[in-house]
Amino acid sequence: MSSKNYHILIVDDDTEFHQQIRYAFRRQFLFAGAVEEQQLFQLLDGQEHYDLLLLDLVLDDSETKKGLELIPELVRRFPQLPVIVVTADRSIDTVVEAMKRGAKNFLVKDDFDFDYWQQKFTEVIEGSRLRQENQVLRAEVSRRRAQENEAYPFIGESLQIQEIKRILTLVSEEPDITVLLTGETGTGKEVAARYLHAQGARRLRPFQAVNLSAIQDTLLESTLFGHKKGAFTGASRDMEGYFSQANSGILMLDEIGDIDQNIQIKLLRFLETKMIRSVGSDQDVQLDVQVVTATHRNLAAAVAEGRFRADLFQRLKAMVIDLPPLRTRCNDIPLLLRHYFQQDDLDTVLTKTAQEALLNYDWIGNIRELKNAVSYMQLRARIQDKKRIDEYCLPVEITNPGSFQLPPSVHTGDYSGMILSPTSPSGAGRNIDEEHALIDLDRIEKLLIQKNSVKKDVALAIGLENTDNLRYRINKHFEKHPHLFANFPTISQSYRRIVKL
Amino acid sequence: MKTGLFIEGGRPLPPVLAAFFNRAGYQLVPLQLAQDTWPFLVKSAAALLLMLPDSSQGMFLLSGQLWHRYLLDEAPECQLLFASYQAVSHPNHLDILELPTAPTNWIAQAFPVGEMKNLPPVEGMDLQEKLHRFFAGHGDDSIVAVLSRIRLVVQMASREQQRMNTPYPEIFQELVAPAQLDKKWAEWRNRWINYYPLFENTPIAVKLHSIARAATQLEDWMMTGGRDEESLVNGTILRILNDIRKELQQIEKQYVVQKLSYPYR
Repeated sequence: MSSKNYHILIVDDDTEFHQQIRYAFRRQFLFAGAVEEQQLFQLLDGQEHYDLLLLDLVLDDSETKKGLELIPELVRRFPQLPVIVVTADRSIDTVVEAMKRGAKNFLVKDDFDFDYWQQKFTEVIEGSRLRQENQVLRAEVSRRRAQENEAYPFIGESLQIQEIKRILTLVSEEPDITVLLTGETGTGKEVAARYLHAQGARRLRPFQAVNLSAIQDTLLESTLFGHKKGAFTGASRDMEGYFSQANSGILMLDEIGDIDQNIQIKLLRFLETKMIRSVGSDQDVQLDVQVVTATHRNLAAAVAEGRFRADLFQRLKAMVIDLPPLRTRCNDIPLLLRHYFQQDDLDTVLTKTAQEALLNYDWIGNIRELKNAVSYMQLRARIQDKKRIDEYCLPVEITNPGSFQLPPSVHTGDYSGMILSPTSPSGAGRNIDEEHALIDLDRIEKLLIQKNSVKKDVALAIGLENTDNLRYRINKHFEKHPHLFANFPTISQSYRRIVKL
Repeated sequence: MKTGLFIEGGRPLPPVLAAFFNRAGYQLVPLQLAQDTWPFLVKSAAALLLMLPDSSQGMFLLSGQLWHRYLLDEAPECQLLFASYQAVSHPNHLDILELPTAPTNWIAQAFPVGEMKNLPPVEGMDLQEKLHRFFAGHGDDSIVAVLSRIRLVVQMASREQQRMNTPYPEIFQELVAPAQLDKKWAEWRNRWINYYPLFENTPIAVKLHSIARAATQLEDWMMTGGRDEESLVNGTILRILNDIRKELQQIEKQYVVQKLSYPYR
């Protein structure tokens, strides 16, 4: 916005001063004027918007500093209108009092200097606008954070979950304690971390969650701690890391058991000194970040095997909270189903048989698996044009526990219990190669979900040496059967450079 | 023999006082504030004697605070002594009607400026207080407030003309004429004439004389309401006003406490 569009209200009993200021700054600002209190508030209560108020302190012949008395009321009633005191009185007491009461600046008429005054007017107006924008943005951040917390509700009424919530609430009152969340994959470690954030002293501050396994080892240090321009090939500008982004808030480091020794040392240093040093920098930066770590691995075993530093482990286990697997708190399953189906009465969406199957299933992938199963079942029901989800809509591992092998139906071309095929639900007309691809992709899809999209773990689970082999296999399937990939959103997302639908 | 300076304050030095100081080993020399050398004399003098109160324009004035302030900055070892016809009890005050019998002892017990806690409560109008009002932003006594309004207009007019190339007739019509500089100047001059002679026997007298001379140069331009474009174009008017302001600022900075320092901006 050009400064010409800024609208300034002058309040001064000296009408000559009004006229002089208007004339001097006629090219820079728009002006309106008031000579006394009543007129001032009439203008402010009117339709016109003002960006700045220039307030003289002496507004009548009484020589009392009426302007000083007006400042608090102006600040209270019109908080977005900055006030600059413009007066002949330069006594320190007056300046201090005016600033204490809420004036943004103080200009002495005797010191009039066009450029300086113009600069101050603009600075105060733009500073005020920035503050207003900042407030709007903060409100937006709070709103989004609230939405985010709603998106990650900590659902459960089992005794275990009630106890964990109680502990998290107590821990949240200790904004500097390091928390280690353990538990099988999919048990809701990030949800627990967000719950901790939402309850505690840092709830209005940032929350950053990062899955350390999902980041290449070579990039991990700069991703966490940031880097300076030129620190390595491709570092074309300074970049903040997750730690800096989470400053004053909480940083959740998921899969902490997977980081290498170098990062372990740097993390330990941060936990002990609260200092980080970005890659390529020669200066430490002090940060105020509460670290919440999470892992599904047994860190004590990793320490014993020498893969994890004992000193870091000691530091991390200041407060360990173990999240129970879903199979040990079956009474939470209906609650979770109600939440993910967005339906209070499960009977309206699930047949009794389906409900029983879901309640009796082991849920190895825990809540994440349950959530994905819900999406799967809903889609299956839509494809099969069913109003309620029955046992035929359930994933095959639920109806046929322990099976990750080829079910008998595969040989007859019926994949309905395993995967979704919009073009051919029955699988009729597929050749054996396509059928094999379908089964392989289904397995990879499920493993990706179970392993939280950690390709390394998926590759290991299916007996591949490394992620390159997995990528090769995906690529092969895509070259031959690209149409199958529409049914595998997790694979498509994880390998979006290969899978271009 | 040490040198002691004295300021008569409108009345001749009583011979009895000169004799008193002679007996104490001091030769009293009148301090001529009109001479440029007076600051050097003060720095080398052992004592400065003020005859209080000053008698000027039919008023009894007290310049003690201003001299105290000046000596604190410039010659803190100097003794600031006072003489009056009033029976005032103070280590640095002499009652002329009842001089101490032992001049040497009296001089020895008087404080140097740097150690003085207060001034003798001689009756009269305190010029320090008057100077405060001189600089006060509002009020009938303020010299600076009126000059400030004049300078504001001249500064804006000069900028318009020199930086924005606005024709002077327009500037005159929009800015200078409405400001009624002739009336303001007359107001300022009236106040000034009443004020500045009061400070004749104070350390700011020289600066005030300098301002008075500068003001004379502005007289014609101001009294025609600022019609003469040339004086504005060549910057003479603003320069003189700035010189006056600078002198006033120096006085304010040294003698008027509790003000914003100028570098604050």
